[in-house]
Amino acid sequence: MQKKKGLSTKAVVATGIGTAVFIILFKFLAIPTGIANTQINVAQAWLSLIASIFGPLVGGLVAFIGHALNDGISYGSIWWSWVIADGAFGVLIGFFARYLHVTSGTFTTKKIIGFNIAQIVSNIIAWLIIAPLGDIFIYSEPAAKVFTQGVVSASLNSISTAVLGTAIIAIYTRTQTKKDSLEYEA
Amino acid sequence: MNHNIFGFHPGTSIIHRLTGTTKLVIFLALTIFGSLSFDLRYLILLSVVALVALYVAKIKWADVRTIVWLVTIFAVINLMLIYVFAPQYGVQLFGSKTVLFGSGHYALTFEQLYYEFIVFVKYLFAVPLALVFLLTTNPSEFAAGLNRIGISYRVAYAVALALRYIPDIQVSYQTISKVQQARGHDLSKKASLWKRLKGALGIMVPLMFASLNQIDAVSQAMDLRRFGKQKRRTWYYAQSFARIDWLALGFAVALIALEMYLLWQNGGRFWYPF
Amino acid sequence: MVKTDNAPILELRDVTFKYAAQKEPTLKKLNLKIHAGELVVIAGASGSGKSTLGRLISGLIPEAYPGDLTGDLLINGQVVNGQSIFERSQAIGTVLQDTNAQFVGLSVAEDVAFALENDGVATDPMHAAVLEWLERLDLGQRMNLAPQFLSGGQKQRTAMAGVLIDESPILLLDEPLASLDQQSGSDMLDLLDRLREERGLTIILIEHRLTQVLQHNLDQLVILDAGQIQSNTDALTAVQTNCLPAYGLAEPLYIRLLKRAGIDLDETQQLLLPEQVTAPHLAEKLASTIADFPTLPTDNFGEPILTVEHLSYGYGPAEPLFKDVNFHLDAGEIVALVGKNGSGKSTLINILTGFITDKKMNGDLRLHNQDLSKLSIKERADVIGYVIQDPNLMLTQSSVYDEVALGLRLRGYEEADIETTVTDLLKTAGLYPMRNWPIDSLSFGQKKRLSIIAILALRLEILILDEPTAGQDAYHAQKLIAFILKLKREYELTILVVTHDMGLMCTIADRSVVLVDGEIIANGTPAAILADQDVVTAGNLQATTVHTLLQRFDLVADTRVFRALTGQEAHNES
Ligand SMILES: Nc1ncnc2c1ncn2[C@@H]1O[C@H](COP(=O)(O)OP(=O)(O)OP(=O)(O)O)[C@@H](O)[C@H]1O
Ligand SMILES: Nc1ncnc2c1ncn2[C@@H]1O[C@H](COP(=O)(O)OP(=O)(O)OP(=O)(O)O)[C@@H](O)[C@H]1O
Ligand SMILES: [Mg+2]
Ligand SMILES: [Mg+2]
Repeated sequence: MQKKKGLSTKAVVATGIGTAVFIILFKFLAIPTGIANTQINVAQAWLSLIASIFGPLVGGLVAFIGHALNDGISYGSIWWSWVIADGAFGVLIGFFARYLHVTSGTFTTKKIIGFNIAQIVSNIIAWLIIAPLGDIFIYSEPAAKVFTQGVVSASLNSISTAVLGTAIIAIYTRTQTKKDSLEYEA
Repeated sequence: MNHNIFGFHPGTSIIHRLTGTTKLVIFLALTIFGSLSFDLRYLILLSVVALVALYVAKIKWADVRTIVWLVTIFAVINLMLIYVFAPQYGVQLFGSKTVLFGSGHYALTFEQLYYEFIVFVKYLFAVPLALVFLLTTNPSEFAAGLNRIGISYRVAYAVALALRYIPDIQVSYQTISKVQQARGHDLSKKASLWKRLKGALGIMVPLMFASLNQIDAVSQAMDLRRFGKQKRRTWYYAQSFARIDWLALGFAVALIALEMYLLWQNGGRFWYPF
Repeated sequence: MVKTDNAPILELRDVTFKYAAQKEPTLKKLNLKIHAGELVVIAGASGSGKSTLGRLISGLIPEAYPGDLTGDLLINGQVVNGQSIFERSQAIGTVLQDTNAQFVGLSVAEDVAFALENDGVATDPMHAAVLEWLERLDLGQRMNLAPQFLSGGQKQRTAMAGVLIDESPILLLDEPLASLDQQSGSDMLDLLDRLREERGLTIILIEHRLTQVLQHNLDQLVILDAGQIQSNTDALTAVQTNCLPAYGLAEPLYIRLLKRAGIDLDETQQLLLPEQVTAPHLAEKLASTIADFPTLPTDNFGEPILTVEHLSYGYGPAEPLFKDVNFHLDAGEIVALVGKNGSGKSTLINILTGFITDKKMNGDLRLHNQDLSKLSIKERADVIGYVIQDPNLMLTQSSVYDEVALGLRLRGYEEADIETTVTDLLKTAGLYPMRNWPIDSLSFGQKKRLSIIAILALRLEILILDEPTAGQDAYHAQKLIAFILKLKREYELTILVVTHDMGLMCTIADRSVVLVDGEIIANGTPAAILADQDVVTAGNLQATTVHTLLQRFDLVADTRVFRALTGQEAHNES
């Protein structure tokens, strides 16, 4: 059998369809929190699932392509610093999830805690470091403004992932368990 | 329902006739270099170029109205945020302070107004460029174009697949959401946050399983037709460069050269003649 | 018909395969020889291993599905066990069951070109080959369309063009008819016949819908049961020796009727063609058998509970789909909504259930004399239950029990009341023993039944079902029909069924409504509808084999006949 180089076909497809779902969730399913202009980002929870299953490369590509396409389609211009930050989040969470074996076996309490620490760290790196620095270097925006925005994004994304991301990974891993355990009950 | 998320409108204008690769390169180059510049003259020049392109491509106001409003609102909110968090940022950038109105920390200065105006133009100049690109580029040519500018064909094809499946996923999403409402999930704005989170999960779970199955099926179908067999692949929609492509690229290069010259002449990214 | 003189183009020798996740092998010691130019049909109940065999032939096993494979697979006498999918695909073109997933291009032409693009073929020869195959499969007009603008049949043909363009000598299709309406299904089979004649293709067809397939000249009918080849004969012998019902397959209804009439199948001529079959005393035997079938109790339908008057609606700015649709449902009746692909059936239902709401919509929609347009999706759902075609888009809970309980919990019922209702329904649907299983481990048919009772739990008056039997094997389709009839009796439901399955329509419907291009062109009993040749042609319908047979003797194929043949008559005696 010849060995394939580069991304496997499955990774390519996971990137393509993962991105499509990411964009649809981004556009249609954001839950306002009640505080003006802030919303819980369901797409971010999907991203953490895809990155956990398919790894850092697919995670990074889905976030990068998805965010860039969504910006282009909805706003006309692409806000590169945030696109890069989101891509970095996808890579980081995919890397941590692989290291923690999040999607293999059962999703134990220990794994849940590990996953959530990892996602909070990834969110902080992405939104509190990469995005604001990008805003300052690329767009010359005032530091006070971009760091405040960073704090808001990092917290909202961490909360979204903690609630919805944890939930769907738990549901996903439950279906991955061995089926021998199933038997008919009277 | 808009099935064509790219919004591609077929046409015969000179811009439609440029290859996808040319348009992609020009779009990326001008938006990236435009974001770097804080020279008001240059940004206005780019905006004029983009508006002329929009006119030449015969794009109607009705097609772009929504997006323009969205961006304007987005821009205004950002400008206000900048003012709230850093009302004297312009003073700091330009090293002078001309108070126009009020006093103290929130005094309105000419420098701040000038800075915020530049930012406003920066938010807006890319919009017509992006619209020209999105509305005149066949999505299939877009993928071929990405591959041509050196991005791996696997990644380029992943982008093509995303564009292919967005309408399908949108239909699934809407069906799932209606079914959940019918079953009693309240997704409206009136529902409590907790209920809406549960509703969101009710949409995500079927969407997740359907999409993961889809990923399996599509990758098998692609394997069966030998995707990934060769180092290179050809594209049905590959186009060869014509003279207008070279002319357009030359024009873009000239614009970039102008920016380089301005950066050198201003001794930085800002141009402040006052 | 089987040629033995030349070497087989494809051969399996003692092939056994076990999926890595399974304990037992799924395919056991298979031996099979297929010669060039043959049409081979692989049939078998759900889960018998048909798709697994298909994956083995196409090379997806073992590359995409890890497991243990023993025995040999030979192509033209060469053992090809270790071959990659890529090499195998040059010899065998595979069309997967889900043609929508198979459609990877952004347009028809691009999708057909996909294999050539991957081979690095230059654009000029590629464009020429694509054009040639598009013409051959009658897709030339549609080459620039995106998949969402194509009918099921057109997608199916695009998928075929996409593999035929390789000019590989063998074509493998997994359930190509599942999603097509009757006429499109027939057209597809005719196309396969043509390809076989013109290009000498060898065709391997995995299919549940045998009634249609049997009328095409097939060389081998391979019946799988629990991973073993139980029978491999020509179609005639299979029918005469009772193979089909023995292995849970759908026997064509006219064959069942012949048997009920006490006709010895060995004494018939042209048994496979209902329009020609002859046997001694056929006419008398049929007539007396039919006369003996039990009569059905006369139903009394109530007042109209749902009425649609002067409905007009269209999607885009183009010509509206519906101009003036008038429609009603009477309390207690079962109505079948039929008609060719894209005629607006789903759209009509979506309007009734509030899934589509639009200012451009006009007309008077009433539910119990209430104005429907004033009610929200949820308010309508309290009266009208809607089971969409794909159960995968409906099920959200982690266990079967919770899925049924969901709607009741959201409506704030007491947990104790919920338990009685849910237990009751689970027993009715035969899902009670699996109540604690995760949804994901149910078969498609089980999911479909689950989605129906999850809606029924809400105590409704009207139930709308979209394609309840599509893609199910005979045994499960049968159970579903029985289930629907039982629901109607026990809960006094009014039911609207959308279907392409004429057998289903004739068995359960009190009345049929035929929708063609947004217009209702006929409304009457199923027997009357299928007797009208103009309506049948316009609606892409097809008379069932029972009609074809009985019409020759001026006998009427009414609901009574179908209920008797499908074993549903007993339920109506009470
Ligand atoms: N990927 C897999 N891993 C493990 N077991 C599998 C896998 N795919 C199928 N099976 C099992 O193999 C058996 C045969 O499945 P297969 O899909 O071949 O059936 P089929 O005859 O095609 O049924 P259907 O008519 O429902 O499509 C089933 O019991 C199924 O559970
Ligand atoms: N969301 C949509 N936007 C635009 N056009 C649509 C949409 N949904 C359906 N159509 C078009 O409306 C027509 C009716 O479609 P509909 O799905 O109601 O047909 P149908 O009778 O249910 O077909 P099938 O038997 O294939 O399910 C078709 O021509 C279809 O292409
Ligand atoms: Mg199968
Ligand atoms: Mg439909």
